[in-house]
Amino acid sequence: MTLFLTALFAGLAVGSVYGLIALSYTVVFNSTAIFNIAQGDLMMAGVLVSYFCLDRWHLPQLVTLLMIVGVVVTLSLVEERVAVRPFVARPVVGLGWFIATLAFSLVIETVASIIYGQNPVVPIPGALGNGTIQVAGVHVATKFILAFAVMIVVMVALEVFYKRTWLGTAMRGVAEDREVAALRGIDALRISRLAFIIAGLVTALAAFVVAPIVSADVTVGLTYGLKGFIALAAGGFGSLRGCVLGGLLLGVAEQMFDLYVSSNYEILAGLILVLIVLAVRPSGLFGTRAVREV
Amino acid sequence: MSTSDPLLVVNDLHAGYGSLQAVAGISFEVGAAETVALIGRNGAGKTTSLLAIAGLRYGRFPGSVKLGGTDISRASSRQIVDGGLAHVPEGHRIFASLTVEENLRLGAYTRRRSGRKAVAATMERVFDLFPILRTYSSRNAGFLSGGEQQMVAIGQALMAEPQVLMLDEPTSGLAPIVIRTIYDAIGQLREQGLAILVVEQSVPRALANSNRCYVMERGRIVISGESAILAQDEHVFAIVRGTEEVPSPARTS
Amino acid sequence: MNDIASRLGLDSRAWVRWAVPAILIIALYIVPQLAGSTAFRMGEYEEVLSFLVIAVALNIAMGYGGQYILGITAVFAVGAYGAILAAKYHPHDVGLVAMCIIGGLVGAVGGLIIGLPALRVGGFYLALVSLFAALAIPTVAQQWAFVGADTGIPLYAVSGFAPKLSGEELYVIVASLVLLATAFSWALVHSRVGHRFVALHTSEQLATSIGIRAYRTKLLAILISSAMAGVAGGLYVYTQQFFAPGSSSVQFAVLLLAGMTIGGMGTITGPLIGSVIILGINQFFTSFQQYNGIVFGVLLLLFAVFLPNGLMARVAVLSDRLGLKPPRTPGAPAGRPAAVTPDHVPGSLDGVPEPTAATALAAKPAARLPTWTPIIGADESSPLVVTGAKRAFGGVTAVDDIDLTVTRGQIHGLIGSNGSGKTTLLNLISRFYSLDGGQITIGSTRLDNRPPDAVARAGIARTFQSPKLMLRESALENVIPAVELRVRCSGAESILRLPRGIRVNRQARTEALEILEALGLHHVMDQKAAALPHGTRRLVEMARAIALRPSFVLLDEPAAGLSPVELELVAEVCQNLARSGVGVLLIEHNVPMVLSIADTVTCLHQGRRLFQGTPAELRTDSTVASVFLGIDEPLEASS
Repeated sequence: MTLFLTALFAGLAVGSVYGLIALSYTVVFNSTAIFNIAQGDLMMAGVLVSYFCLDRWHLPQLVTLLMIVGVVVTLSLVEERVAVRPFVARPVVGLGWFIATLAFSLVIETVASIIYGQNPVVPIPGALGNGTIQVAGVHVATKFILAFAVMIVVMVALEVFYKRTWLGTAMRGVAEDREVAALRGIDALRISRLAFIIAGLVTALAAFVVAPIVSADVTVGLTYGLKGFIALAAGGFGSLRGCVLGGLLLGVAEQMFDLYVSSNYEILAGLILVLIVLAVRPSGLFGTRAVREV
Repeated sequence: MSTSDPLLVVNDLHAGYGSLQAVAGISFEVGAAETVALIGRNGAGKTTSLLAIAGLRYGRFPGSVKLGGTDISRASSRQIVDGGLAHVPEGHRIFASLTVEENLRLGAYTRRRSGRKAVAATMERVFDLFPILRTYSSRNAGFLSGGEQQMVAIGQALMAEPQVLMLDEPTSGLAPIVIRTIYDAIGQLREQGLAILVVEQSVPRALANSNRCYVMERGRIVISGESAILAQDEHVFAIVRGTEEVPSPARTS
Repeated sequence: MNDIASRLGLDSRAWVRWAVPAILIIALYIVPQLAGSTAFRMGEYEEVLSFLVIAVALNIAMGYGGQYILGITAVFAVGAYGAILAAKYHPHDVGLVAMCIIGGLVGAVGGLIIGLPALRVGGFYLALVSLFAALAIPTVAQQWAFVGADTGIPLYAVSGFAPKLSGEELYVIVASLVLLATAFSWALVHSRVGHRFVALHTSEQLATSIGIRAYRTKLLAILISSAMAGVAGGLYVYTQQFFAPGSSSVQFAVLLLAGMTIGGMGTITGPLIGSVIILGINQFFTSFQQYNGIVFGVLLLLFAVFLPNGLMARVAVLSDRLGLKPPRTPGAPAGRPAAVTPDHVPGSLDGVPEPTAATALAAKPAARLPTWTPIIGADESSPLVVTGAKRAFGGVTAVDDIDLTVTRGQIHGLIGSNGSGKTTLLNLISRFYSLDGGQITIGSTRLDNRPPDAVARAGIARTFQSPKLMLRESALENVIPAVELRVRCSGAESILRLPRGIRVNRQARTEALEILEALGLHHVMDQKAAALPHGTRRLVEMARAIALRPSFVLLDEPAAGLSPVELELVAEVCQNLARSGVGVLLIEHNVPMVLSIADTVTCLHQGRRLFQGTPAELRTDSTVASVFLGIDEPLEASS
């Protein structure tokens, strides 16, 4: 039982990271109908910043967080300008937008590996230290709880944002009908840019909480990016709750697979999960919106 | 005829899609407290004209549009809304997944800095104009009937407190009672001083509900004049129905 | 030579375009002579050549079929492992051919497993799921002892494995296999199967409206390309005699995609040239391998934004200018330039000419239109009957309890103002929307529970309000797939140009041409649809609908945007169809036109039927006049 619970909590923690990535995907394509595959690499860049700040330069946690946010949001904005904006205004034509975002992620990954090299990133001290607390008779690392808490807070914040603020409501309008939004004076391009800023913020938070949990190397960007997609597919595109649930589902599925089947082939858990979901309930658990047709 | 300067002055407007010229040089004006109707067959260029005026330009073409004296030919749609012009496109398009209240609120997006009270006051006036929306204010707009959605669309445009309101076929496909409600509302708005431009499919309806009227055919204005007088003119009906060729040159009466 | 060319379905004027490929082919065979022929070098060439086969495979699925199997490298890996394992355990029995076949089979299965679930949802899912598979397969292999884990399987170390081919001989064979794969993809693209791919890629609605089964076609595209990628796997392991997880990574998938984008998907040579460029850069930059990613990333980004159709699109324009530009008639009238309707277009339109005066309708249609007796759905004589049709969208009732009958051999006009439900009704009949209530039948056959392609195959053709054409294909090539619905042969016969396949290909072409000629479109038959003005596009779409030889034709506002001459032609065509025994449902705003040719007219208002009767009755009906036309008196006084 203890093993099960340990795996469960670990799964919820890693799942929270997937959920955060899925949330940042959702923010972007709720305003642009574009799925930004580079989100995973943006997170990885944030992890790298975390490493340099905490491990190399020994900066305080808060400063580190600010640095991460700064770098990730900046990269997000650059990406929006360079790889996304040319496509948002055009009618849907093939895969160009996807290739552009993929290309951007490739550049980030290469730059990261030049800066850092090929070795795995060493474990990074967590914001709440390395302590554990007791939950249901099992020791749960505080960094796990932090990850989970951050995800829930972000999800709630986004829900409030979309429902209660001018900008959030405007974003929902733009997603629905760009032309009518434009006629009401809502600048769709500015909205897209803001979406990227918000997504960058969420991704930065993901980087901050994942860094102590999982030792990563510079090549995991795409892996996290794709796992974030699986979280979305399982939870359903367009739904914030879907992101959270999908992410947790994936995280737990992986840990359970580790525990009961084999830890070597953990990655198969994700593949099996997505194939099952697509076969049984293609729109995901809470799905609403369609991604830009390819 | 209004005695003050016209609020909307369109001069030699051209517009089109790609290499197709849908509007080939039209000129007209709309003044405060008057309703001007724009009629013509399908494909005459009415919708494109309005979209071009509203800032969703289709290509750069000669011609100018002046709003209250300011040239808005090159303005962004945001600037145009700020300048006091609102356009309700055809097809009762609203944000279906948002509630009626959220839809209306978004109409006031450009005025959001003026404070919640100001926006709420404007919304109250919209509800006064279309009482049924008050009942449905928290329902998702997608679940309303076509007529109710059209009211939301018009209300949304009004939330920006425009001085010039353009409507593209606001009553197409709607029941007679709803048509009456909408035109009554338009009448009220005119009395409040708005300059209103309406594209209408039905000729009698257009002439009965407007002060002046322009007839478009193949991207040009071919007839213009006071609605009461045009209502007696056989040619107008024939042209719009398509049973008569366009008389040239353009006639005014 | 022209005879052979036309028999194979080639444009005989295109021999100019053969110069480049011919040079490349010769160059391919003499590469070892030019750049070194050590065993190591040969291995490198063969590696690149194997990858080229994957590029060809991906091009079939993605460039033509529109199925984005970005992670096709996963299929390649699976096929390679299958082949190398077979060789490892049966080194004496397994040679090149066996390895390729095994690779192909294993690859096909792998492709189906990945592709099937994703297909239900949409192309985008396929892209990402396959990419994830491309990540997962090597990761799994790294841990699996059976496939050699991280070190892989060194076939050269397996005793008993002695490849019969090596050195120059092997190179020639591998090069030939690549050429064979390319030739196959060319043959496929220019066959009935390829036509279905392109139609589907352009627009699923277009494809289903001419009877193409969407799901089956997508599956076929995935199957063929997966098999080919698997064969590439077999080829790879035979020549390299080694396979490890590192041989096929996600990064490789991205490289492949880069090659496709730069060279240009949707052409035969594009992906090959692009892949050679990318792989070349990869090799060249070995000492700077670190910075590879930046170069590729930036290159890929630039192409995706500015040149989405790749280099070959530019080359195509160039070759067009060199040999095939139509003569410009000086002083030609302005004509009616096209409305560029951005429907779902595969690839942007760079490299495709704008409409010109010369492409407007200039030829006169046939003096007397031929008979188009129904072939599809002609085993019945019952009319098309719609009963109690209902459909709502959210809170808006678009169609409310409509009854309508389209009799064979008659023209049924459907009029009504905007929002009256006309187009919705047409979409319901052709099954692009589903009914909330009611039925659609022809005789005893119910249509309202079948998919749209079944409706087309039951003999109902339709046109669209905004013409849906394959813009990068010629007018003729747009009509041929419709003919191919009923002039049948198997896919294999068509692709492999077996005698029956050649005969059927030619017959389809001839029949399509006949219809185009009848409509006065002979002179634009080779023009790309994108270059045609709006009115001509409408007529081409009508030709396509007629080419099905259907029992019923549903026309969605065909008159919009047409010149008076074209309008006359449309009216004549409708009447001719009726004379031939086809039932015509004509939705139109142009009331006079409808009244002049229709046998029955239905007038819709707010989703309800306001009137149904003869044109004469409509003219004297006061309800129609007041409600629809908005006047107090009927169009004509009743006599």
